Amino acid sequence: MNLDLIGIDDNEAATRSLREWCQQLGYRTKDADGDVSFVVVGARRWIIGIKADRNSNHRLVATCIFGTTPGYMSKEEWHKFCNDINARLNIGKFCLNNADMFEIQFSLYFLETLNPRLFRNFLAQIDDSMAHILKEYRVVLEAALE
Amino acid sequence: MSLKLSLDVGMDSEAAGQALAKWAADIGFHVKALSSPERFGLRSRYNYTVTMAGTAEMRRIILIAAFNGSPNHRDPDGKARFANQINMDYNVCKIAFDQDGSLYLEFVLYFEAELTPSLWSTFVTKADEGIAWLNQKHKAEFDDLIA
Repeated sequence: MNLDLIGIDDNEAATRSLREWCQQLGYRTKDADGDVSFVVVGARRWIIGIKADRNSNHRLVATCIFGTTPGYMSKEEWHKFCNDINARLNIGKFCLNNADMFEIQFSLYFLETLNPRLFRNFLAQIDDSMAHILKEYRVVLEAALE
Repeated sequence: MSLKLSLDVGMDSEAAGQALAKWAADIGFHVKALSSPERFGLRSRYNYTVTMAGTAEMRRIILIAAFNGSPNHRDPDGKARFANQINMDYNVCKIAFDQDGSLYLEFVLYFEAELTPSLWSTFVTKADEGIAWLNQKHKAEFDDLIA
């Protein structure tokens, strides 16, 4: 039961289709704040959306957000910390967002269709990557994340 | 003959990366061997270093374009702030500066046992377009940061 986005070049329509498909696969979803993105509720809460373009190329973007402990690190220290992880590890993209939340983001490129196994493996792998990161930077992140 | 890249389950990342390099060359990409066998060079609109990672169930191709940092720009706080801004604002790629001030732009492609030429070509094209777009959008900053 592949997700079929043939001819869909609109972000919102593609993301809606993805959400319905996730629900059919048995994932529990809930609304995300602000836009059509949605949350897959599992080991982590991944906020998921699709970037579609006119050539039937699609990119699934999965983001996990953590609150930060006020005052633990300055913005400059957070920026350096994120740059250090981004430079050292080839997994995910890390940043401090405008709301001073710590964001981790992964992207999955696909063309017109997405098969369930690839999607499940992708979610499993980014869960594993997240666990690795939290372990690797445990001393900093336990103290810095709410 | 199928044009897909098919990787055996028993291949480790280094062997899978070498298979990718050969396959990419066979379908017309400009590929260059590097001194380190686990990666290879790819010439497209930009020069990339390509590495394979992940597991047999879920391979990960990491495409990195690197640019030397400008000797005139010595503000590590400014670089980290700029990198964070780009990483926060856009879904194009991941950018980071290393300790020498060089700039890295990283793109990642996940796939399973098989990779089609169309997905690979699209991925490389999106990387080319992404870098060009970022460079245009933040030309002043890139001109200042890159040698």
